[in-house]
Amino acid sequence: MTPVIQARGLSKSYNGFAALKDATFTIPLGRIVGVIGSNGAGKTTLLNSILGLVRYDGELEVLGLNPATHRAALMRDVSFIADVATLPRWMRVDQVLDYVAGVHPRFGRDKALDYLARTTVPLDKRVRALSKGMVAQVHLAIVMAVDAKLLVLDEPTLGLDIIFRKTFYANLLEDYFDKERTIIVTTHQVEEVEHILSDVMFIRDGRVVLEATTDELGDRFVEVMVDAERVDEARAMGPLAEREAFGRKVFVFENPDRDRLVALGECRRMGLADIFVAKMTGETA
Amino acid sequence: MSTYRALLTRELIEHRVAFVTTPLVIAGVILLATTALLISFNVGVIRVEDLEIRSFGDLLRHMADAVERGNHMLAPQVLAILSVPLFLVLPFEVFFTLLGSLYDDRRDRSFLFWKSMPVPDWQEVGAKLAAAVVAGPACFFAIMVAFQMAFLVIATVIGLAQGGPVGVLWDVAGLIGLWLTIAVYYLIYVLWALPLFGWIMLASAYAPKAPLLYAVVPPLALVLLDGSIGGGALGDWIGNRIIGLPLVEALGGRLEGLDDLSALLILPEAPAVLAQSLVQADFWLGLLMAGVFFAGAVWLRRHNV
Repeated sequence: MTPVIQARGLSKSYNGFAALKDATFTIPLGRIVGVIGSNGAGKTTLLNSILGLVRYDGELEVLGLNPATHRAALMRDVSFIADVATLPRWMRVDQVLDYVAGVHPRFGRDKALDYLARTTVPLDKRVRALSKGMVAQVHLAIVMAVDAKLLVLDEPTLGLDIIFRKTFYANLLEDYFDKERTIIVTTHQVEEVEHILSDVMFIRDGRVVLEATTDELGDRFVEVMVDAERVDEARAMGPLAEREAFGRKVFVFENPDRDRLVALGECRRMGLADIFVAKMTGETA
Repeated sequence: MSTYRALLTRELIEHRVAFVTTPLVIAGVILLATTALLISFNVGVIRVEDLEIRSFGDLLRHMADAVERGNHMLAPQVLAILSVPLFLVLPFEVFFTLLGSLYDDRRDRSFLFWKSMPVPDWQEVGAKLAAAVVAGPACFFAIMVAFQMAFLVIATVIGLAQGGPVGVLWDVAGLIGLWLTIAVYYLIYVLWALPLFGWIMLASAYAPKAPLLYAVVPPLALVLLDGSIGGGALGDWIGNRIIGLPLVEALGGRLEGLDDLSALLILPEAPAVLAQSLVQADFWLGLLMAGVFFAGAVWLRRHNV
C-alpha cells in the first residue's frame, strides 16, 4: 500500500534554532496517528511541514505531492484544524459554509448542515458570537463534510470542556474515520485520545524517537513492581526508568526479556502517558 | 469561476462597513441635507449675479434656460458635485483595506483556516487586491448611482410641487455618460496607482506588527533622502500617482480647445485619455513594479507563517 506520508531527513530551522532534526517516518492509509511530544518538541513544525505551511529541508511526500510547492492542490485531499478558533470571527456560520462550498470541490454542504443540526449552533450568528465549543463544532462539521484522505488535527480541543472533548473524538471515530482515511492528531490530553489511536509517534527535541502501533507499544513497554531485595537485579537488566510507589520500586523496561521480568515481580501493561513520560525522562537520565 | 466569486464575496463581507455601510451613510446624509435645502428654497430669495431664485421651481427654470443656451450636462454635473463626498472617502477605504489585507488574518490566526482550503496563494492575494481596488469601489459606485437616482426622484417631486420644469433634471443620456466616464477614469487612475497598491500589500504581508509603519516609513525615508541628496524625483513619482496627476494632466490636455468642463464628462474623451497613458514608459514601469510587489506579497503569503 502506498503511504500517505513519507518523510526522509526532514529538517527545519528557525533563525538557527533546529525545530526538526532529520525526521524520517512513514504513515500509511487507514491509521489514526498520535504525534506526542512536550511543548516545543517540534510537533507543530512537523505538522506545518506536512500541510505545506512552512518550507523545510529534506524529503517529504504527502499523497504523492510535495507540500511546500503544492499546498493548494494538496488541500483538496487534506483537511486540517491547526488550532482552536481559527474560523474568521466576522463571518456568519452560514457564510463560512457558503465560502467553503465555493472553493472546495470535495465539500458537502448538506453533510455539514446535517452535523450542525445535531448541535445547538445557530447558523445565522457570527462566529465571534459563538462559544468556544460551538466554534470547534462548526470547524469539526466542516472538516467532517470534506471528503479528504488525510485529516490533521493540532490541539483541536484545547481549552474545551471534557464532555465536548469526548464527543469530538467519538464523532470523528463513528462518523468520519474509515479504512480510506488517515488522521494525525496532537494533543496534551493523551489519555483522551489513547483509545482511538492506532499508531503513535514520539517527538523530542525535533527528533522522532519512537514510531509504533499502539498494539506493539503494549508489548514493548512493561512496568514491573519489584521487591526491595531484587532491585539490583532489576537495575542490571537496564531499565528505561525507575520510580517509587507504595514503598516499592517500579521499573519500566523497553523490549525486556519476558521470562526474566516475570520472575522479578508483578508486570503491568502501561498507559500511553506513562510510556511517554518513561521514554522521555528515561532517555535524558 | 465559483472560487473567484466565493473569494470576492468573502472580502466584501469582511469589508462591508468600508464599502457598503460607509457610502450608504454618506449618501443618506447628503440626501437628507439636499432634500431639506430644496424644500427650504421657498423661504427666501437667493441672488446669483443677476438671477433671482425664490424657489426650487425658479432654479429649475433658470437651469432650463441655461440648457437652452447650450450649457449641456448641467444636471449630471450637479449630481457629480453632490457625489464628491463619496469619492473623498473612498481612497481611505481602499488604503486601509489593502493595509489590513494580508495582515489582519495573520494576527487573528484565521489565515490557518484559509490555508486549509484548496486555494493557491496568488489567488488569495489577487482576490484581496481585486476586492479592495475594484469590487469594493464598485459597491461605492453602485451606491452613488442609487443615491443620484434617489436625489432625482426627490428633486422631481419637490420641483413638481413648486411648478418647475422637472424635465431638465432627467438628462438620462448625460447621466449614463457620466457614470461610464467616472468608471473609466477611475480605472485609469487605478492603473497608475497600482505600484502603490502593490507596495501596501507587500507591507501588509510582511509586517510582524503595525503594517501602517511598514507601508509608510520606508518610502517616506527614501523620499526624504532623495529630496535632500537627490533631485526629489521619487517624491514626485509617488505623489503624482497618489493624486492621479497623469490623469489630471491628460484631462487638462484634452480641456484645451474644448468649450467647457462638461465636455470632460463625455465618455468619448476617455479612450484618448487612456491612450495618453499607454504611450508613457513611466506608466509601464509602474505596472512592472506593481507586478514585482504583487509577486513579493504572494511569496510572503506562502511562507510568512
